[in-house]
Amino acid sequence: MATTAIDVRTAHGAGGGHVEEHGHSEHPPTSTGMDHRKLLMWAFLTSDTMFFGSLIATYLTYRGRAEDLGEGPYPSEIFDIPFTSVSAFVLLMSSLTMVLALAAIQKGNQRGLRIWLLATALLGSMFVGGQYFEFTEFVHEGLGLTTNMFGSSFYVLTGFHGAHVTIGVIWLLTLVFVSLRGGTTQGDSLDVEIAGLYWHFVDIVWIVIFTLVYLIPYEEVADVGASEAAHLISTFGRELSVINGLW
Amino acid sequence: MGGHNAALHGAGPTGPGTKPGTDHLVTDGHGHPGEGVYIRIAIILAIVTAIEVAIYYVDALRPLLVPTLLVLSIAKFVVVVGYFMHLKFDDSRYRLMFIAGLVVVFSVIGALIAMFWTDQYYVPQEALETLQQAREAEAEAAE
Repeated sequence: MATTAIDVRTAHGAGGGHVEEHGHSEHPPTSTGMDHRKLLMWAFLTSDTMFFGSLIATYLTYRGRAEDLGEGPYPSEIFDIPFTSVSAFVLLMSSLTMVLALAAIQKGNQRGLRIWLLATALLGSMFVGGQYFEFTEFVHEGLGLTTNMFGSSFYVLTGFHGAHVTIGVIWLLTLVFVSLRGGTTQGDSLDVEIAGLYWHFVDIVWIVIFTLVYLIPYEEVADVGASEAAHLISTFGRELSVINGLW
Repeated sequence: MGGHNAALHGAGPTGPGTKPGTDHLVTDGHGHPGEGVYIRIAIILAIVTAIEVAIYYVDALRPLLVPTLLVLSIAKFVVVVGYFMHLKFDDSRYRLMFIAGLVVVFSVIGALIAMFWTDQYYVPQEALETLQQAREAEAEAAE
């Protein structure tokens, strides 16, 4: 015990702010002073931001050209804004329950941690269920993955987001399971914080998707001087096949 | 909560880059906001979301719809990242890393949209002429 105490004090003295802050005496201080697991999660989130950024850019590029690049239906015909608004609200509230779970474990409240984690997982599951329902409705209305460029870019973008939420739900349930086995202590709050970073990231991605994909009207995107370019792109696609034939 | 605040304000453990100017917030022992702040922020976010949906249905606001939605969306994004993800309170290098990623994202989005919405970028004149010639050759072959 004495050795452990000395080690912890040494870690604090070496500038391990996070070691002291989160109580992770088993993790030595780092040269940067930042916890490497948290740093890794931020690096991952940064790369994931680029991933979703490219998907969103692709969606915005193709959405206004659905009519030129394939048959309908188009965004304005099938989006159910009230339903998606409820889904957005559900995911937003899941961010609250997630951060309350973190606050609970930081105070050593195991029961609070499990309750809020389960609430977050439940809200996340509701969101995924809503997305499944929405996809099913869209398919029934004739919008498949390959119907037109709007369908392709929409399903890929929102589908990847749904996959992220699903992974997050599994992660949260794993944390609950570990907590039930007594494996999550106040000193392990960083585990919950890192899961929370991922969960909040999923939330902010949906904030962007909800605005850019659902709320900004289809006409607004189509009118931004894109009609000529859209015609050009559709022509270019046909001509490329001609060139391929010549080669 | 009060005990936590007293312990933190000015005297608590501070990691590198921890901002001292957050004393007005109700914070816990980890330099993060407390539950009360989280709940207030969630209420604000819910209200902003409701406003977004409401203005979507107001025809009179149609000309201002896109900029308004973008501003509200950015505000929600910043609040969630700053408070729920604690970027406002954590080491500033986390913030720097994330902002660098956002810069790359906006650059990619801007470049892609510019490329597709500006014909000069997407299809050079020479390529158009080549395509035109190919089309004529195909028409002749068909005849």
